Amino acid sequence: MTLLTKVLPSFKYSYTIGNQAVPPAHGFSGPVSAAVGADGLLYVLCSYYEYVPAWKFVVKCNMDEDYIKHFGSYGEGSGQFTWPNSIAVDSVGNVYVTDEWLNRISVFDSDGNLQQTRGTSGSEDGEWDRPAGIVFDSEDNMLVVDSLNHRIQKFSQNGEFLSKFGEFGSGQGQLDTPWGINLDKDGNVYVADWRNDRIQKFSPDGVPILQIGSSGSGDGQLTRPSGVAVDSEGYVYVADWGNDRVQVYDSLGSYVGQFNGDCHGYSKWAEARMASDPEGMSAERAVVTDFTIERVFFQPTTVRIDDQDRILVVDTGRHRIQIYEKQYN
Amino acid sequence: MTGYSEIARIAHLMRRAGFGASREDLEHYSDMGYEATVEELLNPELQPDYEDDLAYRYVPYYRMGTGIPSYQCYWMYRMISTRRPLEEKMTLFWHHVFATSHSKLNRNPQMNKQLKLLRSFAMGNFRTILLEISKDPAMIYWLDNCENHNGAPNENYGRELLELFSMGVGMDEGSNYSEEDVKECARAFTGWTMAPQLPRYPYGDYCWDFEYRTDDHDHGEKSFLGETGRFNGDDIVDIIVRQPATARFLSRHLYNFFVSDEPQVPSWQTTDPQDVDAIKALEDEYFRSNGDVRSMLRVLFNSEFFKNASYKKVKSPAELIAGVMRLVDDYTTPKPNSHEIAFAAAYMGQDLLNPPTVEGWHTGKEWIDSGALVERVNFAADRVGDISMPGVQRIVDRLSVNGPVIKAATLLDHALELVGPVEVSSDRRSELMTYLEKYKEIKCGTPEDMTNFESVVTGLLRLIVASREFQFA
Repeated sequence: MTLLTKVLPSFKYSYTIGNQAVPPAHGFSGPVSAAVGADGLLYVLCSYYEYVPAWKFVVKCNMDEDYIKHFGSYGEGSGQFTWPNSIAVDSVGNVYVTDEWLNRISVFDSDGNLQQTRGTSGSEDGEWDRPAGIVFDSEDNMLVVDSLNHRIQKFSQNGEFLSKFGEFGSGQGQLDTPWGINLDKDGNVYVADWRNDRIQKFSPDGVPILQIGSSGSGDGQLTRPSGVAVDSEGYVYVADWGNDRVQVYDSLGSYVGQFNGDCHGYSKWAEARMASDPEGMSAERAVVTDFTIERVFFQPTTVRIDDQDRILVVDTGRHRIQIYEKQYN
Repeated sequence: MTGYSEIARIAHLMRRAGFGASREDLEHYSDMGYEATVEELLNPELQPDYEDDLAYRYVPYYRMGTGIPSYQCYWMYRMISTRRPLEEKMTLFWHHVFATSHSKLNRNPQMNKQLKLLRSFAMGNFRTILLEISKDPAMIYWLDNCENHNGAPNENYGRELLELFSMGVGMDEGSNYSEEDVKECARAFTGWTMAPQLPRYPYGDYCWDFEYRTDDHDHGEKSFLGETGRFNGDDIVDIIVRQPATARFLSRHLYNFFVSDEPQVPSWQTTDPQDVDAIKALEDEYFRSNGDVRSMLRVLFNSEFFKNASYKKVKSPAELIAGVMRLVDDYTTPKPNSHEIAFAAAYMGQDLLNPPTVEGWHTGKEWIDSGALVERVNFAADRVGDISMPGVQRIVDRLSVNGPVIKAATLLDHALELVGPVEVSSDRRSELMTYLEKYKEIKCGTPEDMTNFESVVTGLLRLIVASREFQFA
């Protein structure tokens, strides 16, 4: 009799996009979410200072780190953001940004032109209290994390309320101030149950299936998980926000591994930045012997998977996206 | 204290040992009793910690900002929302004493790291406090101890450690130390520096860590305050905390911050404390408790000299702002635009994390000039005049209980009670009555009456916080 042993993947750092900058300079400032569009397009939502209006914006770029444009600013006006939380792209390339303070979703075309805003404050069906994570299913229905109503709401493409699930609490299927949301290839729903320190998996109809993680900082434990993503093989990646790391689980919720950030070398934009002040920055760097602090994650908020199964980690405190690849040795 | 209500005593305590309190909190503490409230304040670990996760979620730069306003906003928000008011007040106290400014550092998260340090030892042992602040990279860079080398000492930190952080230049018209002591102190702190750190770009700011370099330390013999040995920095701190001057210096600082405005620090050598017995009581507790700051505060808050010192201190800008915000119950949970609150302190003369010099801010009446007074009055009046603020609405609701028709004098008495209680002079009272008496009848029985009533009350609240008396804690 032959025993079959499951071969687990490992995760290798690939490259980094970004550096700390505010438009028109090429970079990010406090990126909190990202959305992968068609043809390698990338939309990165930045939520930094409130005291400088230009420091909240969306950068449109691509996976090759070509800067295309930016749009949005801090404020309460049309097309502005106050507490932007998450960004998503629908099947035709429209860009959706949730705003937890304004209780609205701003919809832009792929060039950043505002198309409409959606949302009404409240707790009735179709109303929101701090909309957070957002994702589209295969039929272009929109699932929104309604964080202070502690539930998930589902809307049709034209914004019609369809269904909801979840309520406040810590039991199975209950949620406490949830944040990120994502789907697997079968349409199952994964929610970063933020203040319950766990990920919950629901069926496409909202039936609770699985709980992943518990409170803490040990292997497999979570502290305020903010983002979640599932790759084509069903591996679940969690932005373990309070522990400054990403943890990986298999489709049954068993712990597989973690990565803490490995950025070495520079992104293209960082290279350009360094070239602008070769003496100053190089001189300071020359006396440093330990570069660990530069490599590791600082408050990673969102995880995304692209169509090549690459893992994008939005490394908020370091103003960049670190990209990993899964491999089997 | 004859004629002084328990609520008023608690309110006095909370203004000084915290940043004020809502009427509901005052009633809660009053039910507990004064001494029990003091103990709760002295033991902040018994209260829930500040909910950083919510703040960091909604305002990410509170944790990872690279601009100094990030941390000014974050700290002001903590002062307003904390459930451990004395811990936060002591953090402000130590920021006054160990005044460090971001303007020289230009490494802003380092200032937040220093605040965390101050908060962590807020009510600890003074020896530990001096030792830890001597190892704090922000302080080391601020006072050039990173330039204090074996064979080439830089005296800046050694001098300020003695002059401004522990002993003071002198007392009772004598000197507490000599110029030679300063030099020997500096030699003892050679090699106390910080490890090199990466530059801000391209991926954001990083904090320094303390580093002791034995190869850069002067291991030779030193004579300091009459003692001789191969002293290192911790030996110097041990000697400092044994000095009567240190007990006097710390006691005067605590008295000045919590009890009554004293002359500014540079004049302490030649100016006696205004209450010699009070300072003596604090000095005695310093030595009895081996420099335990919590024990000194217990003596202070339970003393008659403290209880009798109501409205004898000018509020600092931070105290005024945090107190008003707690009164109106705004920014007690995360909310956008906290920079408007933090920047207001700077407009009033207290740019947090950016004191004017290592001597810190001059306090007391020096907080007030014509420009600062206008800022203070406008800030407070704008907030209490806003009926959408939950705390203002609660005041209106409580006052309306005396309806449907309320006499002007009754309304004034109750409003003064709910805002402080605030004690006003007879002249001020006459002015406030003049405002109320222009309304023939003050009614609150119908929805239409309530609309007018809200206007009358918010107008009255604006006048109360514009009063001279409200500027005092």
